[in-house]
Amino acid sequence: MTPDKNFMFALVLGILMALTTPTLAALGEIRLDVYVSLFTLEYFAAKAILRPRLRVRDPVAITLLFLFLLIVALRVMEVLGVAPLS
Amino acid sequence: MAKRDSSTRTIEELDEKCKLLLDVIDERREVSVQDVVSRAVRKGFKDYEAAKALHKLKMKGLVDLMDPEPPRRFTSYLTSSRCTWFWLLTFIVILTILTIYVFPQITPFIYLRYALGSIFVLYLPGASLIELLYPKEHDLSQLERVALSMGLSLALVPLTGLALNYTPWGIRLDPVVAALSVLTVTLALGAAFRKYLYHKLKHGV
Amino acid sequence: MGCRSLERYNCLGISLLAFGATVTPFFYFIMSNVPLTALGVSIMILGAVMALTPINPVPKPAVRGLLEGAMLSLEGLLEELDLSERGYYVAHEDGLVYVYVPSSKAEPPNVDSKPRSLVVELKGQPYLVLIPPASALAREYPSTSLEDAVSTVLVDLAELCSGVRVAKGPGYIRVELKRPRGRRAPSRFKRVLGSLEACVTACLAASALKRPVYVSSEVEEKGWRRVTLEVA
Repeated sequence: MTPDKNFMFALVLGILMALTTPTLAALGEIRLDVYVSLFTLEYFAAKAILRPRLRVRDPVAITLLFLFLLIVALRVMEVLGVAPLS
Repeated sequence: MAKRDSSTRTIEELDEKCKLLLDVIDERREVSVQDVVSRAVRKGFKDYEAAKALHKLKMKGLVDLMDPEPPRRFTSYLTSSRCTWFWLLTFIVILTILTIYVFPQITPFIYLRYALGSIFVLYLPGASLIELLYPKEHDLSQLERVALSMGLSLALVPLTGLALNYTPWGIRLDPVVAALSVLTVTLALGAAFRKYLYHKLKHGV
Repeated sequence: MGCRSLERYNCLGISLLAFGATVTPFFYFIMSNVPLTALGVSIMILGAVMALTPINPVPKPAVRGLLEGAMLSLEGLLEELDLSERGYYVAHEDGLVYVYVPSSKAEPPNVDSKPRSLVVELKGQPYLVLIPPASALAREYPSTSLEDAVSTVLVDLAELCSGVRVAKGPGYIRVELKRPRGRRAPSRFKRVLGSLEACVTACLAASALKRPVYVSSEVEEKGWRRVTLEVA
């Protein structure tokens, strides 16, 4: 029986995030933006491959994309020496 | 070969040349491109005008161009003109590697390195992933493809760097160039294979 | 809005979202623990995804059973009227797709309006007008991409196959169905409307293209079925 695409998306996403979080924690990663960036990439990768249907336009994707862009912008500013990322 | 698509779409917005060419094709529903151009030239077209009008008709979906002998195997598909994008991508990757390791680091080669390096990092990885995920031409518009390619490159490249950080090689020039080259070409090869599957289905080979 | 109006799966999603939203600030501001904060964020993401996912109220085997039942019913009618010519799938303004079955070999019908009776006569040719099994599904699941629409109905909704690939050519559409698992269509139905999977695909194609479509051929090979639809 083919599993439901939407259920597979939630399952795959859950597994990816469950693997990512302890792996990064074990590697001693203490920057929250690294975790959020990886969650964002995993979300979009799983969505692109599994293409689930959602009730409404995707607010999770919009929020994660906004956070990702914010993180990238702050990192770039930190590299340029304009503003430190706390 | 050119074939008239029996669509009821309006042809009123077409210019005179396109309408004339449509009549030429309509005389015989399926005809070779060479035949169409020679008939059009006899009716007063220049050959490049006929080719341009034919391209316009194809874009509007009123005419479809078919290959009378489409490639049957993946290797012949890969070496056909349908995979020009793949070879162009591979060429740019190779050229970028050459500008880094072979070309002298002086003007104007250094500017070539900057330009190719930007494309190599900011566009190619995302573009190959987009081609893999959306192999059909009509899945996305050209503008969407370009925008998504740049966005996905911004995601893929840091991810590659993050992965390299935990390897013995670290984030240095050689590992980054190697990793991005392998990633880009592998994704492009996967995309070519997916496109080949759709090509096989369309042409019934 | 209580959990009665939402499926349990969605309620669980909302609960996870609320749980994550509560513990995340606690882990970040009070415990100052980044991995636990990240865990809270991941729970929120998962909860949001589950809350936003639509659930099929009708199980897939039930959808398949309904389609197969409709197929058997039409088989009886076609057998009684001794019809065996290919039917043309035509979408009308009401969103439904109708199949025009000619009594003898005929051109695709040129129809402007919805049929008003079971038998219509067009240019002297009588046609039996049927509503195929997937007609209403074509109205419920419109999509800009035919491949997405066919995949949604055949794979997600009815589980009639496990994968779909669609390629369009000049005047035809070729659809490849991976591991089709519908019940073998009765002979008369198959001759007139195609297999059940082909029938569903033709309905969706006619609805998407707004042009008459008919099932031209079906070929089975190595776990794949290739259906060719001709577009009139």
